[in-house]
Amino acid sequence: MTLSKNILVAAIGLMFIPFTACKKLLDQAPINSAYAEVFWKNQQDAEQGAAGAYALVRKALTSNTEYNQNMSHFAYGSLAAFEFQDYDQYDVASLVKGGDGFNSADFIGSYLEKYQDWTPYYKVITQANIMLHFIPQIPDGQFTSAPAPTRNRYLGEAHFLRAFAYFYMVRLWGDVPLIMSYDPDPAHAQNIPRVSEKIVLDSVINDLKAAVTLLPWDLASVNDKAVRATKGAAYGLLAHAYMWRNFLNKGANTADLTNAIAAIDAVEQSGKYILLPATDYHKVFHGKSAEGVFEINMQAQYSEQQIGMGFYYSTLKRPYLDKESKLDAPNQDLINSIYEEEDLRLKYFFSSLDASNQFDVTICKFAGLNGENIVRNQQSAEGSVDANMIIMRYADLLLLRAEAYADLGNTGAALKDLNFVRARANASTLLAEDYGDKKVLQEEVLLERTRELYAEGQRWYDLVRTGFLTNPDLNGFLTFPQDRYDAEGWKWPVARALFTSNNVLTQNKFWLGKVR
Amino acid sequence: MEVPKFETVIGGAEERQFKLNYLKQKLTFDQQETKIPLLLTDSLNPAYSGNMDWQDFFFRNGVVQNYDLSVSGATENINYRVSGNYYDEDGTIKGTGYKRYTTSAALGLKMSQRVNVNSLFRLSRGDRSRGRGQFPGEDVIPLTNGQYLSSLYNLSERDKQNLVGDYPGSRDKNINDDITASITLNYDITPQLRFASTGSVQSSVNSRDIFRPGALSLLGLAYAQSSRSRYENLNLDNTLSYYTSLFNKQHHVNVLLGNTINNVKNEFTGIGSGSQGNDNLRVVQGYNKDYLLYRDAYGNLVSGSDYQSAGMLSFFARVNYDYKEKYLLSFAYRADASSRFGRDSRWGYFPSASAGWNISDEPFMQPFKKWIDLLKIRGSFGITGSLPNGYYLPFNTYNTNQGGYGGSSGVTYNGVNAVTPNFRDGVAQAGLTWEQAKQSNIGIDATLFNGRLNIIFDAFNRGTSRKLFDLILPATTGYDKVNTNAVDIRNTGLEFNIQGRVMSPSSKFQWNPGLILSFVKNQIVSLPDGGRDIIVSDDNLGMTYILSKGRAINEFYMMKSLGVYASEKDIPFNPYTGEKLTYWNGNHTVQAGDFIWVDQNGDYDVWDWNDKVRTGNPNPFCTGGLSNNFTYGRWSLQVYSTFTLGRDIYNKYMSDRLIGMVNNYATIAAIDPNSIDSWRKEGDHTKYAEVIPYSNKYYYQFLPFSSAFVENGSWFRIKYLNLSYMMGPKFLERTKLSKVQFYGVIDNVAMFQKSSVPDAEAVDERGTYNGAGYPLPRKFTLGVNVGF
Repeated sequence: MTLSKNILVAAIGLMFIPFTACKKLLDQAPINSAYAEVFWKNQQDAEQGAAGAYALVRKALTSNTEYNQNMSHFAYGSLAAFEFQDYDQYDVASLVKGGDGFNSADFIGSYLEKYQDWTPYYKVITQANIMLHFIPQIPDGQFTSAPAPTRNRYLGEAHFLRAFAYFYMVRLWGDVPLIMSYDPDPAHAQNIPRVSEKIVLDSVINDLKAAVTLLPWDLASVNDKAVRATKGAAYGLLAHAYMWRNFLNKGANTADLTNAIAAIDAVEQSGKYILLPATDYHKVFHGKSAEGVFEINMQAQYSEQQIGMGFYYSTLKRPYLDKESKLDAPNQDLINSIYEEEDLRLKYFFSSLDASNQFDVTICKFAGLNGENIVRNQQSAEGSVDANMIIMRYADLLLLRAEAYADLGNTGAALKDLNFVRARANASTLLAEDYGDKKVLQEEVLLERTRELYAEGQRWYDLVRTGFLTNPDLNGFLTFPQDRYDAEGWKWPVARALFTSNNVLTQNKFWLGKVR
Repeated sequence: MEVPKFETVIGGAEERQFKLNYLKQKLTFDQQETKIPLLLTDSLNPAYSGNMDWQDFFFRNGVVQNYDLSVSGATENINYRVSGNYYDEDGTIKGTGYKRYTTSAALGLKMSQRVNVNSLFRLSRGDRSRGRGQFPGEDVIPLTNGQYLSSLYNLSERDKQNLVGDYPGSRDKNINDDITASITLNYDITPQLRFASTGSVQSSVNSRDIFRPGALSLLGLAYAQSSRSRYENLNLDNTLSYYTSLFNKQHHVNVLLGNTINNVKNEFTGIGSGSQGNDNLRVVQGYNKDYLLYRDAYGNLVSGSDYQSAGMLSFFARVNYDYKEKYLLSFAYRADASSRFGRDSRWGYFPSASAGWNISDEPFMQPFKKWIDLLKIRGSFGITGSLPNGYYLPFNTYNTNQGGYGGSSGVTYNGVNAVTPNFRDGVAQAGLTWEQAKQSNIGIDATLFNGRLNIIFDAFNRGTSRKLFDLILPATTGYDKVNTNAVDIRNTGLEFNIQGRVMSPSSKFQWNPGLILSFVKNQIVSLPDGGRDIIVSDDNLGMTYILSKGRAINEFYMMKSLGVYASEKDIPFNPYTGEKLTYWNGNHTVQAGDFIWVDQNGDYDVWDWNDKVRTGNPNPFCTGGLSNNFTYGRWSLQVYSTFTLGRDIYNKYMSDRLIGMVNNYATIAAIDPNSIDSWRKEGDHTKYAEVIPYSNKYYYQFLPFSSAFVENGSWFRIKYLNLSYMMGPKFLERTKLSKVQFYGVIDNVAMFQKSSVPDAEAVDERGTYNGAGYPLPRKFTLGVNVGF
C-alpha cells in the first residue's frame, strides 16, 4: 500500500509539472539570430545597424539585371546619358542604343525589368525607419562614446539615408509611395499608393535639414571619411534636392536656387573639402579623399570591392585588368567635342582615345591612369578595382552651384566656380564676355559637369534637370525626342512585379500601354 | 535488385560519326564552322577519344539481405521481447547502398495488482553509402540536362574510381544513429480509475564526414567536412481515465483527462573546408578563410552551428458514452499552447464530437439479420489545429554579416559588421496563431453475408485547411515575403474500402479481393489580397502554377500548345501588317516545325506575359489500391496493385532531354534523334518541335513554358507479388520448429501508364516528373521465416 501511495504522490506531482515548467517551455526565443526585441540595445548595435543601412544602399546601387551586371547606379546615370556609343551586353545595351521604337534609353528593353523595380530602395528606407524608431530608445548608459552626439550622429545618418533613397527614386520614377515610420507588423502591411514627387521631395528636404543639424562635420574615425554621412554630405544632397525641386517647379521659385547655393556655400565655408591636384585624380576615385563628400565604400581594404563583376570590371581590360575585352564603347564624338586638347582630364580619365575600334577606348579614371587603383590577389587573378563609388565630390558641388548661379543669371559667380574647377585640369579660363547669353552659360555648365563627372552616374540626371537631354549638340549628336521628354518619358516605368503585390499602384503615364 | 533496362545510346567512334552526320544535316554551313564543339571534331585528342558506357559503368545488380531475430517470453509478472535486425541493400548504382542495424527491447513489469510499468528501448544505426565522396550539392551520377554524358570523354582511372566511390583515400561516411526510449506507468487507483504516465525520448544524430583528396580537384585542393545534426523529441503524457456503467450496465461512460508536454529540438554543428594540406589528414584541423565552405549549393549551413527549439503544452478531455453499444456519443476538447506563437496568441482550443448508430442492433432489423451482420452509421464534426514549420515566427529576426553585394563577398560595410532585418523570411508574425480546420465526416460500416463482404464508406469535408504559403509582401515594407496561412483550401471527398471473401470459409481454395478507392477534390476557397489570382513560380523547376478562387490548387500556367506546325502554310499572319506570327515579343518568327502556341490575346505574338493560360490539373481524380489474396492449402499468393487516375503531369524528363539535345548535343549521350517524335521535314505531323542542336533560332521552346509536355499522368502498377509456402505439421514435428515458411517476393512487377515519362509514379504532388531516367527497380526477394 505504501508503494501505491508513493506512486500516487508522484503521479500528482507529475500532473503539476506542466504548470511550473510552462513558462520555460512556451517562452523560447531564438538564439540562432538576433531579433528586434534584443537588438538596438547599445552603441554597437546602432553602429552595426547603421553599417547594415549603408550595405543596403550599396546593394541597391549595384543591383542587377537578369544578367550579372551589378551596376545599376551607372546604368541609370550614365548608360542612357550618351556617355557611351555602345555596350556589348544585350540587356543594358538597350539603354545605350535603344530598341522597341526608341533610339536610346529603352527602359522597357528585354531583361531590364529589375531596373524598373524600386524594391532595393525600400529596404534602405525600412532600415532607416527602424533606426529612427529604436535608436532613441537606447539608454545613455549603453553608449561607449558621449551619448548625445553619438546618438545624434546615428539618427542623422538614418535621416540622410532615407532622404538619399527617396531622392534616388524620385529622380527615376517621380511619384513613389512614401513611408516615413517604423512598421512593427510588416506581415500585415497595407498597400500604399504613390504620392506626388513634389511631396516626396519636400520630405527629402526635411530629412536632410534634420540630418544637417544632427550630423557632425568630422567623424571620430578617419577611416569613415566620406563613406559615412556627415554634415557636408547632408548639405551636398540638400543642394541636389533643391536643384531637382527647381526643375520640378519649372524654375517658378528662385528660392530653390538660392537655397542650393546656400547649402554649397556651407560646404565651402566649412573648409573641410579641397580639390586634389589633377595628378592625384586616382586618389579621388580610390575614395576617402579630401575631395570626397559622399561615397559608397567599395575598397579592397575589407574585401568589399567587386570581383569579376560590376561597372568598373566591365569597362576595363588590359593593361588595367588581365582580360582581353571589355563591354563598353565610350562616346568618342562626345569626348572629342567637349574637351580642349590641353585639358588634363583627357589624360587622366581616358586611354586609347585614338583607337580605331570604339571598344578599345577606355575610361581609366577609376583604375587610375597607371593602374594605381588595381589590386591583384588570390581571389582576383584578373585584378579588381579598388575604388569607391563616388556619389558626391567637392568638384560636383561647385559645378552644381555654378548651375544654380547660371540659372539665376549670375554669370560672374557661375564662371568663378567653373574656372576654379577648370584650373585644376589646366583647362583655359572662361571669360565673362563669351557668356552674355544665359543659355550659352547654362550649356557650358552642363558640359563642364560632363567633362568633370564623365561616367560617374550623374549625367543622366543633369540632362533631365536642365532639359538639355533633347539637345543633340550637347550629346555627341545623339537625340532624345522632345515629345517623349515633355510627356515625362525620362521617367522609368514601374515594374510589373510591383503591381502584383500592391494593387493601388499606377503606371507612369508615358509608359501606359507601352509596358508589356 | 535488378539493373534497370538501359536506354539505347550510341558509343565511341560510332557516336562521333553519328553526331557529326546529324549536325551536318541540321546546321547551316556557317554554323558548322563555328558551332560544332572540339569534343566531336578533335578525334585525335586523347581526352575525347573514349568509349565510355556510362550506364554500364554505374549500374549493377544489387543484393538485399535482411535478417530478423526476436525472442519473447512472459511469466506472471514479467513479459519481454528482444529483437534484432540487420538489413543490407546494395544500390543498383555502384558504390551506393544502405545498411541498418537495429536492436530493440520491451519489458513489462507487473509490480502489484494495481501498478504496472512498461518500457521500450530501440537503438538503430543507418549507414548510407553515397558512391563517390560527394562535394555538398553534387549528384551521384554526373548528368547534363538530366542526360548521361557523351561516351567520347576518356576518363582516367582516377576519375573512374572516384565516380564509383573506389578512389583510395576518399571518404564519405553518412551515419544515422537513432535512440528511442519510453517508459509507461499504469496505476489503477480503483478498478474504474486509472492513471497512466508515459515519458519518451527520441534522439536522432546524423553525421556526415567527407574527404576528397587534392588530386580530384583541378586546383589540387582537398576538401574535408565533418558535420553532426541532432533532432530530439521529448514527450511526457499523463492521463487519468474513468470508466463506469450505469442502470443495469446498459449505459457506459468513459472519461479521459490528460495533458502532454512536448519539446522538439534541432541542433547542428559542422565545418567544411578546402585545404592544401596533406592527404593523410582527412578531417578539418585549421582552415583558410578563403576555402571555408559556409553554405552548400542549396543554402544549407555547412560551417557553423545552429540551434532551434520549440515546446508545446496540451490539455485534453474526452467523454465517451454509449447505450447498449447501440447509440454512441463522444465529445472531446483539447487546448494546446505552442512556443511557436506569441504570448497572447499561443493557445488554441479544439472541440469535437461524434455519434454512431448501430442500426443492425435495432429490433426492426431482425428480419435482415440473416445477411446483414453489422450496419453502422457514424458522423463526426470537429476542429483541428496545425502548427507552422518555423520555430520562431513571432520574432522579427535579424541577419548579421550582410555586407555582401553583387560581385563582392565582403561581409562588412567599411569594416563594420552589417546587420539588417532578415528581409527574405524573417518578418515577425505577431498574432499568428493555430490554424483551425473544420472537419466533418459521415460514414457507413457494413458487414454482410456472414462476414464475406465488408464495406466501409466515408464522405468527408475537410473544411478549410489553411495552406502555408509564401505571400509576397508589398515592396514598400522592405520585406520580400511571409510564409503564412493565407490560402484556404477545402477538401471534399469520398472513400470506399471494400473487402470480400469470395469462397465459402470451408473451401480449401480462398480468394479475398479488396479495393480501396478515394476521390478527393480540392478547391481554393480564399486567397489573400482580395482574392486575386496568384501566379507561383518554382525557380528550381522553372514551372509556373496558378492559384484561383474556386479552382484546384497548383494548376499549370503555361502557353497552350496545340502540336507542331506541319508546314509553312499553316502559320497564321497578321492581316493588318501581313507579318507572320511571332513568339517572345517579336524575337522569334514562327516557322514550320515550331510548336503551335496559342495566341490568347490576338496580338499575333505569343509570350509568357500575355498568353499563358491554365493547362492542366496535377491533382488526381482518384487514387486507390487493389489487393487479391489467394490461398490453396499451404500455398498462398498475394498480389497488390496501386493506381492513380485522372491527373495531368509535366514530362520534365523529355523536355530536359530536348534542351540537352539543343544546347549540349555533343557532350551528352548520343540518343538517336529519330527515336524522338520531333518535326523533321515539311508536312510532318509530330508531337515535338524540330530539334536543332546549337541552333541560333533556339527560343526556349523546350523549357516549361508550354503545354507541349503536359501528359495524362494516370497509372496502374502491380506493386508486389508474394508467393509463400508453409511447411506442414509433420515437418515441424520432426524439426522441432514452430513455424517454417518459404516465400518469394517480386516488387514493382509491372507498370501500365499513359505518359511517356520513365515512371509515372515518380511525379511530385505538383505534377512534375522528378524521377531519374528509369522506372523503380524491380526487386526479387527469397526468404525463409523460421519460428523456434
